[in-house]
Amino acid sequence: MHGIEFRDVAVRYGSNTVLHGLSLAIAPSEFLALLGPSGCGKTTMLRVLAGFVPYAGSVLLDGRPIDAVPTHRRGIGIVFQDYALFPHRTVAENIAFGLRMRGGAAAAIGRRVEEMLELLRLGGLGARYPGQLSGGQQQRVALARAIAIDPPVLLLDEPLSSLDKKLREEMQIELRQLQKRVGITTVFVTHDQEEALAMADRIAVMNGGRIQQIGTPREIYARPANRFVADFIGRSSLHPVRVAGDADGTWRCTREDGTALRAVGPASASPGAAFFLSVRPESIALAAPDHVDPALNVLDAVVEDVVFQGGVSHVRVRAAGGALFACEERGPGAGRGPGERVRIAWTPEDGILVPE
Amino acid sequence: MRAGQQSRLRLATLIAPGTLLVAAFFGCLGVLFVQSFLPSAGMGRLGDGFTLASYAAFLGDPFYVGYLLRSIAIAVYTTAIVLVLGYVVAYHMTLCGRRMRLAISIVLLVQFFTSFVIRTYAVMLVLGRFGIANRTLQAIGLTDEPLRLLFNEFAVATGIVLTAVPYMVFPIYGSLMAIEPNLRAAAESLGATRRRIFWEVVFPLSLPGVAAAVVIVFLFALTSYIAPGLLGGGYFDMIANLIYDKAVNAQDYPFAAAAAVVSVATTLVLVYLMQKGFRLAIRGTER
Ligand SMILES: Nc1ncnc2c1ncn2[C@@H]1O[C@H](COP(=O)(O)OP(=O)(O)O)[C@@H](O)[C@H]1O
Ligand SMILES: [Mg+2]
Repeated sequence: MHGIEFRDVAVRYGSNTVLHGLSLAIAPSEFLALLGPSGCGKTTMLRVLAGFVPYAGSVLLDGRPIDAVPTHRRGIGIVFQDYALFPHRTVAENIAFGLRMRGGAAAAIGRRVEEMLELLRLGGLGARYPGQLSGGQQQRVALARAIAIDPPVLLLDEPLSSLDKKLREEMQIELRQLQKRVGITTVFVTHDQEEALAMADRIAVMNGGRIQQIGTPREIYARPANRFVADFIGRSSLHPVRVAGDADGTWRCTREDGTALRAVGPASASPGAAFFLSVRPESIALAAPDHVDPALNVLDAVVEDVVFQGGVSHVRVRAAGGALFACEERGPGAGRGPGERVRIAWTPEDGILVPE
Repeated sequence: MRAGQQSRLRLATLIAPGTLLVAAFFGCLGVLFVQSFLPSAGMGRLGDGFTLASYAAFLGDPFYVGYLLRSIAIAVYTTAIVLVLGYVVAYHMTLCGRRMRLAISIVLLVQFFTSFVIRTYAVMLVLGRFGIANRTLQAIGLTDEPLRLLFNEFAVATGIVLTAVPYMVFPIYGSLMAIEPNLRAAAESLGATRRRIFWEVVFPLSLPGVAAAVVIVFLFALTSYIAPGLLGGGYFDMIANLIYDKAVNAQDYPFAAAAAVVSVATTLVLVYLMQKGFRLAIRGTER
């Protein structure tokens, strides 16, 4: 199994810098998701790895630079966003394509194609043309074609984005199982955070051609490294605060209107420093307007609106001073309505200070 | 109700001119067909009755059939040459910069919209006794005397090739541009060299354009009239020149009609076979 490393990789198109010196290591057999908004440079990362675009810096495969190796000898498996199946070739011929380019014996190629058809549950479709397949089947052919050459790395560029929701969720599970079974190092590009959280061993969150944070889905969700990550992953209420001092393991900080709160944050924070306080909706409890608990952060608030979604209700409240907080209430709910006076409360550990 | 009537009216006005043209075309062909079975009464007059005499006269004489065979032969090899030239130009247009592409398109379009006579005359100027071709050959010392490049098969073929290139380039260019760029990237990532990408992906996917262009150029070449007329100078006449000569000079309309009917029928068969061949090669390329 093979590891990948990006070292200070930079890409520019004319005067437009698309990747700003990225460094990133991907462990053997790891499933890494590149997650970020459209245009942040995810596809460009894959194009660098495949050798399609000139770049500064270095890409290493198992510790050896491959910058001088042309695409057709890098042997990297790619599943394109639009699958890019050869329309004039049958499914079997598509899967055999990379094997033929490597010049294997016809019998060996035939066996490998059969193996791939079986692995991806495409049995019986070998003689069809791509145009005669459903989106999900085309997707699997593209995967089979990429894996057939036994590449050191598999690159997937938003492979599920054109499938409908149900099929997409099925394919997420299938893809993940396949990756574990084959053990192939995989870079999976997506702009869908739920997909990334559900599938990846680790997520690299990108924005504006820079990596914002790398970590396991849990780390990224629970400890966002900055405001962008806190905002982009999951839902978060984000409010500017200033650090006032420390209080047994947590930071005391003040909101713009002077209210004092406690939160966790970087050890390097010092009094006076500006941060954003990030609180997840599920961490915030809605309480009666006279609720008091010195161990929690408690704020007076008024319900703005309620969206009932069955098992969970999304409640937006406006705290004193005007700040909006998104909260969640599980269960059938208390049937809250706009204008209702409440108190919101969360533990200091659930409030996270993130830099801009 | 009113909207339906209106749209039906609009549809009718759209279809009418085309229908009229097609009707007129088939009407003329019909007249030709009928005339080919009438006896000739000489001096351009048509007799009564039904006869196969004109067909016998045309098909029975190797001299006459030779015009048709010669025309088919020259059409086949000029189409092949134009295919290679046109493909190279079209392929180059997909790779070169935007300015170069524009320049090539302008040259081809100017050619395309210039009258045949002028285009063919331009070829005469190039191939003439004191034309560029002869002067170049003399300048580089390949020949002392000017060569006779005009008024032979070579001149006619050159004329057809040079005037037919735009008909070949544009359909092929269109089908090359329609190829999904990611297909090349996919082939490359799977280990294909540039050469194999071309032969395994690009060329097969350009075949629909090639098929259309080849039929157009083949018909263009087969029915050449001005090229043999000006560049062959009577030394290399093609079938259209024979038909014109028989109809206008000899005023033997039934013979001209029979020759035309045989030519059209042969052409239809050839085009049908070509299409069949291409369809086999193209199978699967259309999504
Ligand atoms: N061939 C190109 N020429 C110029 N700019 C490009 C080219 N390809 C991508 N870009 C720019 O690079 C940025 C990143 O693109 P991309 O990597 O495709 O983003 P993503 O896949 O994250 O949506 C975008 O702003 C895009 O406009
Ligand atoms: Mg992309």
